[in-house]
Amino acid sequence: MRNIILGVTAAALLGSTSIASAETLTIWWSKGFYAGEDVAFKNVVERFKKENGVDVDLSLYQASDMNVKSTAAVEAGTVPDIAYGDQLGVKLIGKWAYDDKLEDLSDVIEPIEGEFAPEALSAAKLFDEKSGERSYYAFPLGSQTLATMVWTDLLTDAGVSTDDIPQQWEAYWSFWCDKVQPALRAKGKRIYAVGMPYGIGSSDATNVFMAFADAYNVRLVDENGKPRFDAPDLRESLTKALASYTGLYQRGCTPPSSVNWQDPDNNQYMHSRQTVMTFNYSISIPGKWLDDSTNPNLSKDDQAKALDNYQNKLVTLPPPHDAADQPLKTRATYLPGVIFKDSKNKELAKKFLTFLLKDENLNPYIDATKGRLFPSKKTDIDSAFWQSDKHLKAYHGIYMVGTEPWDYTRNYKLSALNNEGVWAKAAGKILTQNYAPDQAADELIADMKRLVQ
Amino acid sequence: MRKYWRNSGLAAIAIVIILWTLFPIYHLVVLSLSPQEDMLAGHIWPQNPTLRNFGIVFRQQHNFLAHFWRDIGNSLIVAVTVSILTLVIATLTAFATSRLRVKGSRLLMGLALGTYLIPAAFLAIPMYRAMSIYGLLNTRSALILAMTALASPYAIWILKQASDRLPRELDEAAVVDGASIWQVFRLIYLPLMRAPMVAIGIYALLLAWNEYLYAFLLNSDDAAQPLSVGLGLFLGADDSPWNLLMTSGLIYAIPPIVIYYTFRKNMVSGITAGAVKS
Amino acid sequence: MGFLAPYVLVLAIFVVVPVIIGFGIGLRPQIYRELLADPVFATAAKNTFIYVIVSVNATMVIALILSGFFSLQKRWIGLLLVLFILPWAAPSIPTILSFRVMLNAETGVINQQLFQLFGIMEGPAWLTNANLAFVMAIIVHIWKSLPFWTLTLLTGRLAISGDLYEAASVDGASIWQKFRYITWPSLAKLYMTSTILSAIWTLGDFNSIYLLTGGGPADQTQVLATLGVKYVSNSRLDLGIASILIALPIILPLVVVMMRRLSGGREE
Repeated sequence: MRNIILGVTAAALLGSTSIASAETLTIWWSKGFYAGEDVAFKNVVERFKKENGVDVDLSLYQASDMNVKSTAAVEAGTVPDIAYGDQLGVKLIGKWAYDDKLEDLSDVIEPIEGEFAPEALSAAKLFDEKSGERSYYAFPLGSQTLATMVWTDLLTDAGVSTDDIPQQWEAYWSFWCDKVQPALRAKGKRIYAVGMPYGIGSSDATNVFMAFADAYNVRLVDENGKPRFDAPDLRESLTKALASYTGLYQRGCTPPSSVNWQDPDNNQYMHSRQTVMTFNYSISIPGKWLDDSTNPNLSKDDQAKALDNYQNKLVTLPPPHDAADQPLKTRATYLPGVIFKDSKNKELAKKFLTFLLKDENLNPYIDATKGRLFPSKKTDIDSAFWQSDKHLKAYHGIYMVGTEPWDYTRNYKLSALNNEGVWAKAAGKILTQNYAPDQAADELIADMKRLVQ
Repeated sequence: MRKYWRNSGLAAIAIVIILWTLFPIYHLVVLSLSPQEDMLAGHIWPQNPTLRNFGIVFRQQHNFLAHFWRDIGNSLIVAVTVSILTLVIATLTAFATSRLRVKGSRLLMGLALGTYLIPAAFLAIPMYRAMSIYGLLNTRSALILAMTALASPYAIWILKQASDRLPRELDEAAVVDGASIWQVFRLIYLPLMRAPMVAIGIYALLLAWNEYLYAFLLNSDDAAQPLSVGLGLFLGADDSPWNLLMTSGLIYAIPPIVIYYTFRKNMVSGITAGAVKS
Repeated sequence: MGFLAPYVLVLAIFVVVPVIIGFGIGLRPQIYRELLADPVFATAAKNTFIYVIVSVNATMVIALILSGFFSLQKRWIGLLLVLFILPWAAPSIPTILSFRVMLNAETGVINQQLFQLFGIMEGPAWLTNANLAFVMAIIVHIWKSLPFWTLTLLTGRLAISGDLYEAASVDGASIWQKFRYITWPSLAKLYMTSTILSAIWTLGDFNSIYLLTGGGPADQTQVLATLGVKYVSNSRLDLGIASILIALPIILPLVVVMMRRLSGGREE
């Protein structure tokens, strides 16, 4: 009997553990939102397999799972050969490079440096404390930045148009809170002018807060990445940014539930037309309607409605000007992937990387994300695809104004701030525990000092 | 007159119980019949009820549900394997501790009881760490073995109580007749234990099928994930259709409910016996 | 001895070793300093305490009353009992998410109906006001666990001899007197055992909070079970383990009492 049990257990174990052989390349990749993304990536993998006669073990993970899994894998030394996750760059890669966990990819990237946008390259050049130098410890793939989505038909209902939107930061919010929402409420509509996420753990909350911080010129680090947490202007600017960010909630122009919003929610509320505008990284909100317009599961009627939403009702706009009425350079998140020092098949992994980064392989994959990822390669950035409709064009335009890198690319230790969601925590204190903004800013600075030592 | 008041009092309680019990489940059904816009409109009954969501789920026509059937298959494999392993382990252990009174039985029963009483969520994180050291993370085996470890203590305990009630003379007579211990186990013990074993097998099956926390911590590989984890994907994604989540959630809830009601008699006596005993 | 080997193996590899690993990680004192410095931990500890005390006692009292209702010998009450068990039989994910959608402040059916029927623009902030959200989590927990404990107490009630009640009726005893002098003395021990067991399980309830509020708003409804997992998701396994070990002084005495009660049966 004991043998039977051991047999059953062993069979269960063998049945589901894939033992990687030397010829098998193990890839962990982010699961796409659109089926087309996964298909496009699998196509690249298939072609690579065929051309090189090797096996590839590809696992697709949800972005947040990828963080947990890859952390555990790095700790246990059971890393894949190549890893890419939408949130790895923001949360983990800087630290891995600093701790000397990543393979230097210079021999893959340097020969093709000229093909990439400089911002994408600089986001892939990371500091390794052991070598004391910056090098290509990651490979650039795509990026995301802040854009504004607006339902123009709801604006029309409120008796205004996109031309009426003021540019200066405070005037801009006043327009939504004091003009658009009351006009819609006067018509008996239960609609909120703004959809602003505040949930702890939501990467959207981190992303949008950074726009509020930039609008008030919050400078957390200097040019060299040295924290300036004791600088006298920081407390003041953070207080203003927090007050502006939470003020929207307190004025009632973002839904009450937005204090709990996680990443899906600002999208959902836009889709269901409960909010007139939202800030979002990438153009995934119009992208959803474009996808629906060809979705075979939907009725012809719904497809036509979706296309109408995409083409006529929804617009993508650049963010407003900052508090001093200067154009706001948005932060761009570059989403890099990595090969680990402990990877078993590093040479094969680099070979795959060289293959993947060719225009004919990478560009179709990036374009299959329907704007969820903005390309890093110049050929793709300049391609006709990004001029092919108004949303893509508007989003492309935001990049062309110029974007700023995130602070954690200058000093990886700041990625701890995003991991902990300190911004949403500080906002939460104001919204749920009646903190004054300056009080919350003080505790926020104390938190930052604790996390970035 | 007094009887009238008494009956209307009972009826009032019954109505409250029905509303309390059924409204969340009714609401789940409504959501699964709603097109996406209707679902957020908060109707008591959808304006345009549709079965389309079920079609999309069954035909795996949404990217989040691209492996719906594979996920169900994984849930099924995990649940059935856990059920079998738990039954085998628990029956052997109950036999050894109750009938043979093997040395160390008391200590083992104590440890089992301790495992049963420690909240499962508290064991989850150390278990996660251990599985990552064993290299089992993201395999079905991790979840199977973890759930077996969690289901066994209660199973052992219930089966031991049941077998303590069997008359000892039975196996003594058999041993006198020259039967080996193994024969006693197979020919006398197992047939007598059939009823509690059914209850325990189903207990373990449902425990494993319904589990979320362990599944989500130990197992989110695309190929090995059970449906509970597949449903969890909807929670974190940037843009997810909750009407489909509710539809697949409803489908996920049906098998355990059906199994439960089919074996209700065994379950109620078997499962509550534990707490009732003292 | 061979009969015991399978369970000994499972116990050793998947329970004892993880526990040892857990203690190994959790014994470093500086983690506790970090843990105590996190204001969310204090909130979670306080919440856990309230959560357990309130939901366990509420569940048990309601279960005690309902078990009386269900012990009435009527056919339709028997059928109602079958229905009543549904929350226990159904998995947590879909049912708790159903609550979550229902209670959404803007799109949920309750507030939408309040708006459509009465024109109330801002209905109650079910899940966005920290206190209300916490109450909702307790209600969901009760919804889920009530059938099990009602059944348990019902089994206990049905074990009481009917003769006692008949004799009491002959003597003209009131309902309250019957409960006070017949039912309660027979049920008290079972009631206490159930309460302790329910407390232990409620301490480990992850689903009700995680699926309903996600610990929000602003981490104000976290309990230890969800906070531990949150630390792990943020790549802080050590804090996750510490947040659980720190609760052991409360759990272990309960576990020991329960073990005495449950395993002491034969010796008594």
